[in-house]
Amino acid sequence: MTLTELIQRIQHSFGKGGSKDEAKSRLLLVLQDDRLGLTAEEKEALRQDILEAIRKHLKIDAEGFTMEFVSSPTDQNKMHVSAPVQVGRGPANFSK
Amino acid sequence: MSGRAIVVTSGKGGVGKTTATANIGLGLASQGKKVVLIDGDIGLRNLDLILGVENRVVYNIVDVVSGRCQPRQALVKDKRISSLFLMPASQIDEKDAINTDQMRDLSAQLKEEFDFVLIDCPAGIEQGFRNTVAAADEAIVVTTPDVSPVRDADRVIGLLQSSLGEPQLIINRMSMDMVKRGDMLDQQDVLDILAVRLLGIVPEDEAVVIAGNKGAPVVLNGGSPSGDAYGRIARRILGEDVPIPELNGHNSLAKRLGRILFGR
Ligand SMILES: Nc1ncnc2c1ncn2[C@@H]1O[C@H](COP(=O)(O)OP(=O)(O)O)[C@@H](O)[C@H]1O
Ligand SMILES: [Mg+2]
Repeated sequence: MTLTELIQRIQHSFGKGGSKDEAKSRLLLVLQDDRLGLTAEEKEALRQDILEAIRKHLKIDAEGFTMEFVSSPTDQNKMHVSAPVQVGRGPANFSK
Repeated sequence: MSGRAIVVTSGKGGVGKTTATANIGLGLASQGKKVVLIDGDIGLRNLDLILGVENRVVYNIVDVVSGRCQPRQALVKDKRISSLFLMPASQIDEKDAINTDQMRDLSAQLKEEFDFVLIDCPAGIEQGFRNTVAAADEAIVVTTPDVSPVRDADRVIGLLQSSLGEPQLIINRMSMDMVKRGDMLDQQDVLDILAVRLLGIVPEDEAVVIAGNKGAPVVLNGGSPSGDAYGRIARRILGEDVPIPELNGHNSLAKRLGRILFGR
């Protein structure tokens, strides 16, 4: 028995490491989506609005801007927005 | 008298609604309650077969709502427990042969005479679902611990919340072996996901299939794990505080060690 095998068996004996963890995280994610009930267009509109809102105050890289929904047993029902802020010299806010 | 009308529903088909309806009905009736089961699966009649009364069906629910007979003429009395009756579905009519108002009226009428009106809901969330839900005061949602039934259960729970409020959940076909291996969602996982009240857990059990063959639901013969589970569920519905046996895959340390060292 290799060490990884032993670790897997230990995890298994605690009911961990089996396929149910995957089932649970996939369900949490898909159900969040089902429950939100947003269409693709609505999500895109939300993405655009958030992007615009941030850009009013900060210089960000639109290419790297992402918005995604996450849900896991430890981190339930969150929307993660990631915006690469371009920090130059001087104040962050700028005039267009 | 006004009884309680309870719909047994799931979204997904084949998860055990009809089996649950038959067993809960018999369980409640054997506790001395007057119970009528309505087979709401118009066009796909099955509850008569599971109960073993298929030979005595004369009229059906469509005959009743269309005025071809009185409700009491259509009711089939159980031979084993005299306080249990079945309102059979029609096998030949379409799903929309009954409308929501007719179903609601029939349920209201039956509630006058029975302590419990249990309604077996068809699969899906269309007309048949809406009819049976409209006829009920409370709902029981049945799911198995698999991804598709759980997802569909969530959808149904969402739909029910706006009409009947929070349903209670039965998790059916739980396999302890699989839970212990970490290959099946356990009760806590399902509750984390669906966030509803748990009414009971029914194990995977061959006895259910045998009971189906014979038309003698498991709850009638004590001793099978599924029959005992349905007996407890019936008592919980009557308000008794019957603990739910822990079916979370926890092993003893010795078993764990054995499994770690020697495999399964
Ligand atoms: N606890 C159980 N263990 C084993 N088989 C089961 C169990 N519950 C239901 N079944 C089987 O699953 C199938 C579908 O059950 P049924 O009650 O007809 O589901 P539904 O009414 O939701 O379509 C049947 O063949 C039944 O015997
Ligand atoms: Mg059925």
